[in-house]
Amino acid sequence: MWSMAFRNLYRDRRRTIATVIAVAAGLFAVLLFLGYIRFVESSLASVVIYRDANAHVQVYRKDGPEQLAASPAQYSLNSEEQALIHKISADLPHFQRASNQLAGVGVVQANNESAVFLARGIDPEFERALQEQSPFAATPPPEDGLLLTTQLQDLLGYPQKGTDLQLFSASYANRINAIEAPLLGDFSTGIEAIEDKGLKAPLTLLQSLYDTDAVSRVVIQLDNREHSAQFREQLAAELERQAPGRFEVTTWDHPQIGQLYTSFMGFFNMVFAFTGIVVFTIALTTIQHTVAMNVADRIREIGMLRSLGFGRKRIAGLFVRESVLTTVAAAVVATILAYLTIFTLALTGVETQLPRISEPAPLALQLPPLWALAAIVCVGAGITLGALMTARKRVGGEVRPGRRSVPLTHLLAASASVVLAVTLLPMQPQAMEPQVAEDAATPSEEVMRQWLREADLARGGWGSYQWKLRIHTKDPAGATDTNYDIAVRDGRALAMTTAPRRYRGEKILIASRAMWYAKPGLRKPVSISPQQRLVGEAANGDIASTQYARDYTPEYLGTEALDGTPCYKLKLTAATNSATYESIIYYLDRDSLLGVKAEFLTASGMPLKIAQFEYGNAVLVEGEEQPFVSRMKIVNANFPERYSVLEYAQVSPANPPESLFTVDTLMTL
Amino acid sequence: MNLVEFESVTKQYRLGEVEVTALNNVNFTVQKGDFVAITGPSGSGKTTMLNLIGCLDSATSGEIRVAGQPVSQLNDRELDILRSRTYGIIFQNFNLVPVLSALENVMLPLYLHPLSKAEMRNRAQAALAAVNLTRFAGFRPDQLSGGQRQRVAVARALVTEPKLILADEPTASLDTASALSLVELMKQLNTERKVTFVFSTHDQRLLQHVKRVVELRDGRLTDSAAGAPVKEGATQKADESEVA
Repeated sequence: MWSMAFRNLYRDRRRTIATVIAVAAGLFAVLLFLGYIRFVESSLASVVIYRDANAHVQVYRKDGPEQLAASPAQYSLNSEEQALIHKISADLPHFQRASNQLAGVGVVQANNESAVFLARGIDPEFERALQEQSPFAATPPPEDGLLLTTQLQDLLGYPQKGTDLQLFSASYANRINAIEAPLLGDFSTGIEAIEDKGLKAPLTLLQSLYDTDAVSRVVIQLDNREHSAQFREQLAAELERQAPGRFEVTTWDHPQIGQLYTSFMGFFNMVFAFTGIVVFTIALTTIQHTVAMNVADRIREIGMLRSLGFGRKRIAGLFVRESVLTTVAAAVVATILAYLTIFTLALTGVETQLPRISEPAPLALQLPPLWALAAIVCVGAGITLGALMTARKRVGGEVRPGRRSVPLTHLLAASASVVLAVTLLPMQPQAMEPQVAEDAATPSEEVMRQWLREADLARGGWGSYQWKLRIHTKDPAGATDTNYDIAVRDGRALAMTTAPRRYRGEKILIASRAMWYAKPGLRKPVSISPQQRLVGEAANGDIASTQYARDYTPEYLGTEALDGTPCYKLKLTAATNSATYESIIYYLDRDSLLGVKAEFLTASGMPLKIAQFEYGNAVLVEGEEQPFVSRMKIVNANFPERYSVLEYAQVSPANPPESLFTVDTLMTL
Repeated sequence: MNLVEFESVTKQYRLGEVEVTALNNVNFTVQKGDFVAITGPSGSGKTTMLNLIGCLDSATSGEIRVAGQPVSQLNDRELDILRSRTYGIIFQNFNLVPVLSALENVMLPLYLHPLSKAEMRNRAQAALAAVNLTRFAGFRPDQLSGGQRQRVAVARALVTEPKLILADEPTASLDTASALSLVELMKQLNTERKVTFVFSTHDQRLLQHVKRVVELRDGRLTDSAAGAPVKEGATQKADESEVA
């Protein structure tokens, strides 16, 4: 029968050739796409493992992958934990080397420009060994300076190599800190989304910025990525045995580690599945059509075979054999063409832009014979099944009334109607709702600005004062206390750290809507942008004083009682780029016009922090006693266990010299 | 025992809204060794009757028995087996598979029998020899004349040594010489090998050589021996005088 099926292919050569071409084109597309998917897969894996220096296995504190960014101090690994991880991992099979890494954020400054950075502190020796195995060229890791991505250098006005850059961030103790280090060269993160923020520094340098000897994680390189899962299990089991519940072990393809890999491979696999289904459907339809045509052409022959005693299944089998032979011929053609194409691409050195990889990579499609065979067998099996069903139905010869088919246009129309109905119906009641009438008693903007000025007065915003400030900051990593001497003059403020002793000499200057940070050891003050003022649970902008009447535009939201106290509720929107917050919901006591509560919002309107004020202090202004803020509690809106309490003491009117508030003299104070 | 037995067989078709009676209450038998011609004008039901005899179609009413077995009780698979073991069929247009050689065409029915490839080949060659086509064994149908193709068809019908060979207008596509040659061959097989033949024809050249003629008119049947009308089945009485 196979011989007969083979010869039948010659009956209508044109039809057979057309079928072979159609199926071969589909298979060719599937094979090439499969090769591309595998190329992307291995490239992304290489980026994640080698160039992004995640290695194969990573060890964090429990929940570290998710929580490190929000709570770096709490979820970092101390020296003892680091040593334990190194010791256990080195004894396991497939281990090659391990290293500590520290990740962090902050602001880098040069040429009077500043930009946010995402830094990774690495061991240069480890990274050099890791990058030797990366198919993507990478800059050698820095020994004693910084590497910045070219995009980040662009944001900084392309500082010259060797220039000292200032890195500014919050330490693990939630205090402002800054260091200086030379720019040694550039590198690429390999990830387009963070390419304008990439900074690489030696581990010890970054640890000094964050004022810690802890690390974010320990990464482990294995001899082969295939062993990652097995190694992870063994290491996790041993760590759990020695320190229950303390560590979390991940592999390079963990969603938090290999986000680039998992998200794109998920997407690509879906696209591949979709393409595969489309191509398979076309190939199947072609084969089914060919079978149907062949059956129609050979009705007389089928009748003869039936009369000889051939059953329907056996006759259908003849047509299936023809389909199998057609598919095999198409598979051979497609495979030869696919490998020829792959070979040609490799020879010509065509480059492609990989998803989210910043530089082009040589297009080297990867199609191992077994993968190609598996794809062909899958498609072939599906086609054979489809051909069998068509052949059996057609050879059966019985014309049955088909189920009423739904025309595509009807389906589309029905779908569109459903979508329209779903979209429009919920809108109707909304449209019917009467508009809420605006409050007729809305005060004018001038009146509201006057209210804000009154409130600012009680927070040192206007006039000349001095006071002592103690900030108690508490978060899951621990608690810190810092004392400042504050001097204020006409909206400008200087905060000088007096305790703890190791931080003595640090200064924050707020003048002309700008802010600077200085400490012994820095060559010049670090400019702090409005966004950087948010660093710490108590924003640096909160330390000194507020001038809401100047920096924000008020909007009246009505009245509301807070703990029985009737308050005006205002929405303040930043009127200047130098404002610390995008917007604030501010509650003012209706009688005293003192700020009672403030909700600081992000640009998207989500609560960031909530502050409550007490006014137990009093100052004499022009012979009249004025209330003054004595306590301010600022709570993180998302993590209520993180808060700062600011206590104001020894508040008195003062006349600090003008020279105290100039950036030029900041380093000499 | 009768080889084939029709008992009050009626076959009706539906053509659109119209119901057509192709065979009407037919009683008919075929004995082993018979050489029967079914004749009649076009549309009289000859092909329908052959299809029913060959179990290629089923009766609307009545009973058809083959070797005593009521065929209405057989399922598809049993009918396939019955056809492969009982019948050889010759078609008016030969119905040879164009991509197969004469020998392979003759071998085709043997695929349904538990035979080795060598046995199949030997038997096919013997069948071709019986129709004097040994030297054309390797020829494909398009390389053979009409008469030769029909001989190949006869060989294909013979190769399984069936109890009954059915032939639908076997000489219709042949010239006189080929037709006479085919008739001689069939008679020879009938006489020497006791192969039973039932065929439909209105070819007088063939009718002159048959032992028994069954004539169909409007789905009803008249039976005769050597061309003379004979009575077969009680329900045919009304037609007898007309035929005579």
